[in-house]
Amino acid sequence: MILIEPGLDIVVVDDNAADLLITEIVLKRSHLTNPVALLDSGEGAVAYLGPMAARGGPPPALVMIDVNMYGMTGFDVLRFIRRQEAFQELPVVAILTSSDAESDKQSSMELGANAFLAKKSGVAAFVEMINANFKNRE
Amino acid sequence: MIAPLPPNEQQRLQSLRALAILDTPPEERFDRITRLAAQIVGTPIVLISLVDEARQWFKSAVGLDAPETPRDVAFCAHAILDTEVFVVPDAHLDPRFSDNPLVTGAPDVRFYAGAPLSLSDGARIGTLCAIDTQSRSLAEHERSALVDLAQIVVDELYLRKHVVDLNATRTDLEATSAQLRRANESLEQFAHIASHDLRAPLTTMINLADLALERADPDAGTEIRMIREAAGHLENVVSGYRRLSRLQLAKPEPRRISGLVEAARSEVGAAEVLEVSGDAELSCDPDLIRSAFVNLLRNAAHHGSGGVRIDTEARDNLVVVRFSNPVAKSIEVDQTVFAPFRRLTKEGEGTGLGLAIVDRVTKLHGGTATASCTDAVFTIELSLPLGQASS
Repeated sequence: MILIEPGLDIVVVDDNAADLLITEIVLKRSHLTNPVALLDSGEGAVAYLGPMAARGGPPPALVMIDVNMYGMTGFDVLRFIRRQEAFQELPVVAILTSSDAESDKQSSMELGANAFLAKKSGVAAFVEMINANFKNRE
Repeated sequence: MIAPLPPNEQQRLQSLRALAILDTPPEERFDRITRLAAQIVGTPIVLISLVDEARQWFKSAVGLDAPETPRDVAFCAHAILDTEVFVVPDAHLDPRFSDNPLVTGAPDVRFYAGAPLSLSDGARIGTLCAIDTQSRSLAEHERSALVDLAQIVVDELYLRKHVVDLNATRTDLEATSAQLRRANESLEQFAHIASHDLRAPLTTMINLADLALERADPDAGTEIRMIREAAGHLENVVSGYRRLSRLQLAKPEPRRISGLVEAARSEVGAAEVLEVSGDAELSCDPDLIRSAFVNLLRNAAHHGSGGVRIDTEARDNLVVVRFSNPVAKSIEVDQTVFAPFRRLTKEGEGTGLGLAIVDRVTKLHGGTATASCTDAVFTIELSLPLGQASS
């Protein structure tokens, strides 16, 4: 279970507009109360997170990154995040397309992801999975 | 005088060429025979001469540097006409050879004794011959030594040919297996990429359809629901295909069939099991066998018209497990029911992969799966070797 700071943004990075929309809805339906910021590319994520890191925070509550993106991949974004002094403690979730992509799981853990999440078929199952893995800090 | 051609010349040339010996480098195994012959017979020149279409070519030579000479001046072309050792005591006195350039000039042949190299098909492909620049005779022990050594040359020719063939076969096999390995790798890679690339948009479609269904008016809802179901079915097929292509045998451990049946039953809620009889212990990958049983139970639930009976029996070195269930009417079945995407009935929600997985799991355990249908009872029988499962 990962504890999420309430009040701060949850940043979702996915280059598929439909998946971005679905993740946003899923987050709204979950127990998490955070505002959600949607970014549609790895480059966009770096442009958003870079100035934050330069200011020295506050960091987002959570970053969720689709690993399979064109151009800058989720792995690249992960690498960028862990290079920032201010983001060492930032919880990052790698979003995998299928739950059995062992090598993707392995790589994202090695690059400093705190957890991974498989895109689930069925919105209800997706919501359940978020609730089972994340909770707002009281 | 030019020697006439042997009556079987065409076949003789074929047999010679089949040995793949012409124009190959010198080999110690032949050189030691010519050295030995030179010592025994006591001539300065000994040759293993192979009579080709227009030349004689020397596989091994003592006392002669030329690699070959034209056939029309070759003593050996005469020697291969007969099965006996061909002897010319003094070429100067022999009208067939007195004007031969090999006699009138270098290497000044006077004496010639050649034992034919006779293959098992009767072809005489050349000779082991001893040559002197002095006239002389051939003693009986020298003659019989030449005959024996000629036979050793033939044996070596055959041995060499076998080794050449074996090496060629091995090279072929290695090339084929490398090719198969590459094909398999790219197939696996394709399966991996295809299932990933298919699943990603499917997941999106299913999720979008879920969300759309919540907002849709009741009329449009029907179509969206059908899209949702179709996408869900396609996802099952893609996942099933992925599972099938990745099935691998883990380290076998002994398990009771009854326990694996029980585990499968609790995984498949819908299955109606009427009777479980018999039991046996099997060295197997329990996850794989359970998944085979799960697929059999699901299959019965989809296609059957009544509950399943499961019967286990140990006989000889086999554990035989039978899943039987009644069907609405008898269907024709053969081994093709185990082929991927082969479906038993038109209707139903199966992926067409269940029995393919059952078959694959059985084969991974070194066993066989058979299907039959009599008197409207459909039966799948798995015969699994009792001993260690082989990978």
